[in-house]
Amino acid sequence: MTGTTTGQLPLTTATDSDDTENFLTVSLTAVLQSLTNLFDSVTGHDHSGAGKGAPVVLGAASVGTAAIANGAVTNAKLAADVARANQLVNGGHDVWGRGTSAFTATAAYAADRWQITLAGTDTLSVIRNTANVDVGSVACSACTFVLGSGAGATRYSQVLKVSDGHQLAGRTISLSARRRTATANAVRVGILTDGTGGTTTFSGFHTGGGTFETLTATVTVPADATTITISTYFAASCTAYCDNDNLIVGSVAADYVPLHPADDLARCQRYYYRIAGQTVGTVVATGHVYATTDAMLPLPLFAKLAVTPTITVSAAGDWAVASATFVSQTCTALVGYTSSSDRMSLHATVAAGLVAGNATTFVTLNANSTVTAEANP
Amino acid sequence: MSIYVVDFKPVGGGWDVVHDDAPGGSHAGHVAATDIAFGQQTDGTPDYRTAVIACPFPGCGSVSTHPLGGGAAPRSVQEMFVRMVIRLGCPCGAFTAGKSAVLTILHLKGHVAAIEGIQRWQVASIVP
Repeated sequence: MTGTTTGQLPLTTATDSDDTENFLTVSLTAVLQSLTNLFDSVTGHDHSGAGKGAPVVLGAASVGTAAIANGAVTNAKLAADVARANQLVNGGHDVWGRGTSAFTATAAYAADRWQITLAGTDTLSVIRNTANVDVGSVACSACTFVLGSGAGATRYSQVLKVSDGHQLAGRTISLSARRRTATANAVRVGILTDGTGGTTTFSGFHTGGGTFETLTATVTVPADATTITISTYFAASCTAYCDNDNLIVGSVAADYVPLHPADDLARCQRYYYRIAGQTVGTVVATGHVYATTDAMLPLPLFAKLAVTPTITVSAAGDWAVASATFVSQTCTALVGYTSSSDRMSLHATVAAGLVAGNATTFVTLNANSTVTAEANP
Repeated sequence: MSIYVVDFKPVGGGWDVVHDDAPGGSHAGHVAATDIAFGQQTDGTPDYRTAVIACPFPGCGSVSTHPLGGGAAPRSVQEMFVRMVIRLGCPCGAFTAGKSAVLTILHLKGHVAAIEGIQRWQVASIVP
């Protein structure tokens, strides 16, 4: 077949070799491209690519009005750096109300709300660390893990309970967690739920690259779930750093965004409230003397706790109550008397020197003086 | 977390306890079951709503007062109350000593439901 191409459109007149008829053959692709170019040149419009199935790339400031319908951007369309409300307490592992020494016992809390659960003969030591934190972080949990017979079940967890007010049952939730370790296939995160069909959904393992990596997991919580547990699981002996956990409602995990420190602390104090580190002679409470040796000392809590707390006081000799002439009478016994979710009272006993009916003050005698209220749902 | 029992059946008897937020770092110790008492009301009578554990670690001197609902360690504390009430009876006066664990749990569960709600109780059974 031979022929020539017309000028305006890429049409070809052709003559078959075996007869004398003329045909008009058409290159459809070339014709469409010509039409596109013609349209663009006349209108000034640029829709290059879109008509051929490629993504639309909008120019800067090209959507100025209501091109996107209200309510049309779903959670699934959001990028990880779009901030969303964190359901965790102390997700940044920054608050350590119980102190900064190593925590090793199963069921022990290390960073506020983060609890150790040991499996088999595994051991796990968790300590506050500021030298190996994620970008911008204040502190992280440094975890030294030795694998025994736990087979990957030892975990460092935060438990969220419906009975504590969490409203995650029936919702899709996503966890983003920053982890660092130099051991491959040793650390991953998971979301455990109870309820019908409840199970554990894991992230992939950290690669062991020695830098912080983002591990994620997404799960739809059963409608009858009562407990959701967010955990770091340890499957091989390693040192791992846990920082910046973010649990959100939605199908796309979101990067951790720190709270204001006051808000972070307030969340933690719902579960663990500590009066400690006071200078000697600090008046912690005022109270009522009801015998020459006994006084009752109410202490309001500055945060309403999740449940009625356990009250723990340091040694009686760390404390004193004041006599009528404001002479310190060292306590010989001190015990929590009653507590509720927003207040507690202590019962102090001294050898002598008080006057029934008087008021008194409750003061610290040394830096060891500590009162804690702890409420774990 | 406070001073709480981590093992109610250690070899040799008694109960093993941990004081995991002690000033200076956590420590542990061993107590006799009879060392743990109900709290006291101002008239000196036992209070069924609280139990008191003194830390056995030498030189510590800290004392935890646990509420019946469990406070810092719900499962451990509730089991401790069950064992105390089986041995001593409930200081409320309505439940005598020596009854089964099942009945004791039901009794204490009622107290906790009245104070903190039915969802607070976490112990279904104990190993005698």
